[in-house]
Amino acid sequence: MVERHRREEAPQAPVDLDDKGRALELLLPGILAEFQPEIGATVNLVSVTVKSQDVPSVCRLVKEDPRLSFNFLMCLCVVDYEEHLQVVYHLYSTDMKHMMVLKANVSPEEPSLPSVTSLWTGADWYERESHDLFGVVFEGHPNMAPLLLYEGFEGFPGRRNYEMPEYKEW
Amino acid sequence: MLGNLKGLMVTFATFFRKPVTYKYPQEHKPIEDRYMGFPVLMWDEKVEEPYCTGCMVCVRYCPTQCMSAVMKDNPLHAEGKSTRRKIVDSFEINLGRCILCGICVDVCNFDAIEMSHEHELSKYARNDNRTNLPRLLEMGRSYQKESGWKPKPVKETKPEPETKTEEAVEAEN
Amino acid sequence: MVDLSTEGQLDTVQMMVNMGPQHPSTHGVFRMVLWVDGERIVDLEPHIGYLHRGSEKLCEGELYVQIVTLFDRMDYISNLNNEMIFCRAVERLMGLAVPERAEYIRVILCELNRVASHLLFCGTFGIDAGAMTPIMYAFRDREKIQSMFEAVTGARMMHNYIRIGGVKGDVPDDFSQRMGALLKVLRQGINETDKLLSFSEIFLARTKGIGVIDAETAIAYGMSGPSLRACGVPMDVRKDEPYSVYDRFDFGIPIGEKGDSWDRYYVRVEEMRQSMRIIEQALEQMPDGPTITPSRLVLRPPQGEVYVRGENPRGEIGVYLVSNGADKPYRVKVRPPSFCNLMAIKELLKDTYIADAVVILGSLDIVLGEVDR
Ligand code: SF4
Ligand code: SF4
Repeated sequence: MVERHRREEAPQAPVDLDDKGRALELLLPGILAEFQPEIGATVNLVSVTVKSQDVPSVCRLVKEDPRLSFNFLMCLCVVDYEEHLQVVYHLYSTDMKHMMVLKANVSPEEPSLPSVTSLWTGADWYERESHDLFGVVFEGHPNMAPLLLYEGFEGFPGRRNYEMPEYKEW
Repeated sequence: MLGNLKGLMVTFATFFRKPVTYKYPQEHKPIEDRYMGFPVLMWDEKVEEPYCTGCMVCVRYCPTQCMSAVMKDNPLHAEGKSTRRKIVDSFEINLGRCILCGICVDVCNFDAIEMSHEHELSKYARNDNRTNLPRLLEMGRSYQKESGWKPKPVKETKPEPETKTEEAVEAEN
Repeated sequence: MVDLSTEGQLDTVQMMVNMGPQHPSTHGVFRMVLWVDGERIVDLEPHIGYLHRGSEKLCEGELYVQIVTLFDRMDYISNLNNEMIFCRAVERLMGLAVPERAEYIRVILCELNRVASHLLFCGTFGIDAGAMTPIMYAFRDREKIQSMFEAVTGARMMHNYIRIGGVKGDVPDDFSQRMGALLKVLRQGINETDKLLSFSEIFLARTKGIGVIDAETAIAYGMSGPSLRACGVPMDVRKDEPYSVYDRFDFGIPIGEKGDSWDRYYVRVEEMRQSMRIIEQALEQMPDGPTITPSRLVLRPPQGEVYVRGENPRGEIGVYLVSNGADKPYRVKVRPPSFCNLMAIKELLKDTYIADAVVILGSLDIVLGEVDR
């Protein structure tokens, strides 16, 4: 249990936003006020945490608001924090050239949240991949078939509690 | 039509150039000095023993876990001929699994392992690439002869992995 | 002209054709299930994952120094670019400064890698369109770049040369001279490939107006890199958010007009020329000094998460790195450019012909190692 001990005392990386990030940090609370977001920051980006069922409405808002216009879904991924799964959206705007992180927590037992494929077509494979590896169900996704794994694969190999099969060398 | 003709001119001009291909089994492409072939163990000619002490640092840092090493007491040290208290007893690298990354060379504190220029290694069975200590040393000696390899001057400031690896082992357990 | 439409004269049945995973035109193990009506593609279903090695999961179990080798193997055509993005992510998280000389070496090698990658594309794209000769020329030049890499990094493909905090070692003494000679040869070689292929009437007929995608759709799919720039969107991380020392060079971003296969091809040809401009400037400006900031062998970056962007030959790559302060990362997520570009294949291939499907897929320049990870 040396590792756990270390995790607690590990220092926090300092937040270091650029000008666009700072401007966003001031702008976002006003625009997203109705969703009661938690506005924070990762090392280099503004991060917004919202409730999982609010994700599509928040996404629509940040995509359509002319001050934000996040029209590019850069990356969608799931991080397994053991007590909860976190779905992380990295959004980018090709006009304003700024970027933000949107996060939503879901429970590991029954992870599900609404899909954003209707807003960004590019979310399609990301969501399928997340479904494969973490078992997160995206409601309203047109086709949730396995993408990277084969049909009938047992378990969610992306999760931290997944037991890797024993590897034997000849 | 014109575009096609231009293209034909290019191919025509190439007729008069020297070929750039090497007819492989008969003719080998020259190897650059820094080329990283398979890792081999070096032989200390002064004391007539390998440099390797079997300390296992490289084994722990190898990303593919393709090596293994065993350490023993050095009989030459007891006779006072060598400064190495411990020496490698057996060493094995599965060259079929090695990805030629060079990390083992970077972490070794004793200049005992080097990336040789050896790169052709086809075998009949898939397990034949497990290479043992005598073979590695033999490959090392031929590399030493070929490249005039010299151990680095003593005490270069390297980040000492020794103390940290203890931690790493601890964390692993 | 003969009227080739069969409407009303013949009954045709839709047929399902399985293209791949071992089809030579799919550039790896990529499978498409096509529903065709004669030669025309009515619908398709792409299948990926045949090369899924779980790289992201593997990263969670390796030390930071070892992960660089995994990134090498993700996009195996542009290894150095991939190494660089991971090293930059860790450096950003740790606030580690990189010596200037190392930055210049990185930029030179990455741009050289871009040229090599695009050369490979030009050759294979020629084959996809039915031209067998260009690949011989492209490979002749790419081979010279590989030899250069061998001289600098010690390996022809999986270099493990860019390390966290700098590069593994300084470049050889005759680096500038050799690079100068190499650039001269490359310039000539690229011109030759260009002459052979770009404006050949047959090639134009095969690629012009084939696989058109407009900027808006491309952005919605998250396409990036040359495939997006071909639609006329000048999006390039090297300009938008200059990393490393890219802000010190003068270079252009070639863009296309229509977003068809030919544009995607020609943007890459032009990009090679721009890359060589960058290399020339970098060689001139390269300062002396150390090439690595010494750091501990077992890195323990502080807790936090970081997302860094970079421009790969195939498009924009991103690495999302979550650290909990341990010696291994908590989560690594890669935004693979080919993955997003390939997603648009459904849009691009609708209502085209099977022969064009090969060209369109080729024009996206995918690397399956990166799509599946
Ligand atoms: S690190 Fe060097 S001395 Fe130690 S076992 Fe490996 S090769 Fe031998
Ligand atoms: S070169 Fe890399 S893979 Fe090969 S033995 Fe050394 S550390 Fe292991």
